[in-house]
Amino acid sequence: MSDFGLSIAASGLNADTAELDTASNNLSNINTPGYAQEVVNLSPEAAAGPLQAGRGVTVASVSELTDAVYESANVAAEGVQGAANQTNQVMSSIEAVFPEPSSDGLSAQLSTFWSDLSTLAANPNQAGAQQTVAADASGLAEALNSTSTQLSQLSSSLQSEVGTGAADSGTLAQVNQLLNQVAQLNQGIVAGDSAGQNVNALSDERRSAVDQLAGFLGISTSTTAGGALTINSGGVQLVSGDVAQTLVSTGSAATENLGIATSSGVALQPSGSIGADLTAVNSTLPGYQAQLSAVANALAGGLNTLQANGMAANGDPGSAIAGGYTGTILPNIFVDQGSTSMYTPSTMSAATIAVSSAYLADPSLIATAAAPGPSNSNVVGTATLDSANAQAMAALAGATTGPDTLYQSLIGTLGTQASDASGTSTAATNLATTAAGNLASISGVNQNQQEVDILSAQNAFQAASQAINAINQSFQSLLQAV
Amino acid sequence: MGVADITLSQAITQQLNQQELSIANLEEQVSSGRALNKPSDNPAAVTQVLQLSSQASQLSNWQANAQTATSWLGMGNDALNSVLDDMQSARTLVLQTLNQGTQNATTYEAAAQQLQGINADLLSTANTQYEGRPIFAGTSASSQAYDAAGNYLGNTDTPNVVVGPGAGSGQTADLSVPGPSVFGAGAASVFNTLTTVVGQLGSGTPTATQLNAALTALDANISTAEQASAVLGNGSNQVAAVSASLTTQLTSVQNTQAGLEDVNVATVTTQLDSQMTNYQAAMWAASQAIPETLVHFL
Repeated sequence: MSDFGLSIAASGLNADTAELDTASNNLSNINTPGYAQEVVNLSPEAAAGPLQAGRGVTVASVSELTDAVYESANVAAEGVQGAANQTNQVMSSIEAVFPEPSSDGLSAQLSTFWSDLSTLAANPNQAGAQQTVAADASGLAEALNSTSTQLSQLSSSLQSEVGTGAADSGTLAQVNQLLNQVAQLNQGIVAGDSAGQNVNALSDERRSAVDQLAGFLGISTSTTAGGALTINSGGVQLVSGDVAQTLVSTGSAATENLGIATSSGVALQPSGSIGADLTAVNSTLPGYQAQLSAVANALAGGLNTLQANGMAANGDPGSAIAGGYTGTILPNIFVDQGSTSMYTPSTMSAATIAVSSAYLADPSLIATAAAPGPSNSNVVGTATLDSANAQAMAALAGATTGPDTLYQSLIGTLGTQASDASGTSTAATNLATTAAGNLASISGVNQNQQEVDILSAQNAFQAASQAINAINQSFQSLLQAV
Repeated sequence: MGVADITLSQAITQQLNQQELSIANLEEQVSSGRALNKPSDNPAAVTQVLQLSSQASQLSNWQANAQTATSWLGMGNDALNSVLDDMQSARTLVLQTLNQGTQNATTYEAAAQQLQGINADLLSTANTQYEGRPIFAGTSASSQAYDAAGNYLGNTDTPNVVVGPGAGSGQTADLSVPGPSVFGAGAASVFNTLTTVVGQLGSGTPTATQLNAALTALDANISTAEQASAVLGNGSNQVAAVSASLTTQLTSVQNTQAGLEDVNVATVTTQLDSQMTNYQAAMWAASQAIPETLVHFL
């Protein structure tokens, strides 16, 4: 070479510029999701001959700092966190449906109803006491209806939160978009890599998409030799190379079989927030509906049985002891909504329990007196102030399988589940923070470090400039001397 | 390898969030005065509170029933005292008439009128009502226990209320006794006794045998009424004991419930205070840590 070392100094300037550019880029992306800090890999140019100096430096590559183990741990933690946080939110919403302990919860309403019956037992023919029992029975039925409806609404709102997978506002639509994005980025990365281009920006973008997917679905990833990322979730491959599956929802919340499948019909069992939604819709919420209905069934069953086997203060008999009685026969107290006479216990009966219109129209039609028997002188059709049957109704308050006990056990289960969900959510968040911190300790940008890098690149740049200046002056002196 | 700035800011955000959550929780406890605001606050305690409040409600119902029983029994005891006085007066009157030997018709007529007055008084006592319900008519829906002729209109069942836990619908307390247990049944009733002797005196020629028979009958009536009085008196004592025990139980249940449900203000405010200090310290640390980078010193 005959440029007196100018090209050597210039290669230094190039390398320093690359370092400055990279540090600036790192600092610009300090808060960009998925961004991994970049470093300039320099390599010295070997000397041309044994007695010559080296020929400067070249920029071999600008590479991202990442760690495969930390990355996959981070993706796993994001999935766990997504599921735990969503479960926690669902449990908080369910808790809001059951305002306990308070003076306006179902528990307090039940207590009031038993007190009404106890008062009625002391005054079996008092119209006011009869009216209060009927009104509060009605209030109880409405409270059960409304609680059940709120649970159903929660279920259907979770279903619409997941969405159909088509272009709606659901999370499944976002998932599909992200899966497509990953497939396209795979294509770009594989192509760019093989052409020797810098694909760091593409993999940053892909990492950000993968993080979001992990929260939604809970995924596992693997990288192929060409640089494409394969994504699996719930046992199904969702992205392979540049091909992404499209996910759709199947079933429905109403039938408790909401599911996720690929458009070709392969079902998958996702975790993440969508997995938590499916569990809530298919199992958690129906579980609470069933427990609530057990409360309704115990209430209706207990009172209707006593009603059928007793007589009203005016002597009208219940259906079980009416025989050939030709007068009014006491109606059921609780019926299915829409029916005038029947109550059928079912897993959705809290939604449909109602007070029969015949009883509401005439609250004196309640069986306060016991059926005629050896321990009393009651006669069907003859008025009596015996209140043995009303006492038995009031005593349902303390029954071991009565509505109160069943409701208390529902609240106990709910409290435990909600408190577990909250603990799990905190633990999962801490886990995810740790995993993200581990990854960031490799890939994250530290401002101080970048600033030191900038200073040292700046110093090196100035030194290289000085070298150029020195060579230039030497060259000039030589020219003047000639 | 170092701490990435994004890690630092995320960690600070998360820590501050967690502290804000526990401050919000403590603040809710202080302002509502309740330690349990939702089932997950303390699942075991919430279930216990629900059980306790349902138990307290039952105890209150029993307490109310015991008060009803106390009123009924008090009324019954008063009635019985007046019944026994009347019966004693009748007995004294019959005995006097017997001891005075043969009298003229006017004297007999006067005695008959006095006995008739006593009979009317007894009938009125027998129809004593509590809130519109005759207390000596058993569980009958009749508006009167006895008609004007002294015939019993009620039944022989004893009305009662539930005052505590127990077999069936629970421990019951009788409110009263049916009329025949006080005034005697059918032909042996005090009304029959008095009507008969009034008739005999009214005829002007009562025999010693008739008056002696009336005395024996009245003695039997008095003994029946005394037994009834003893039953009602016992009932009152028992209800008073039950009522006192219910009050004790209710107080204990309510105290337990309050212990679980109510905020211990001293503890919670101390916790809140220390949490606020931690929160302020964390914010101070964050305010120091976030802006400080090398760039400030260049």
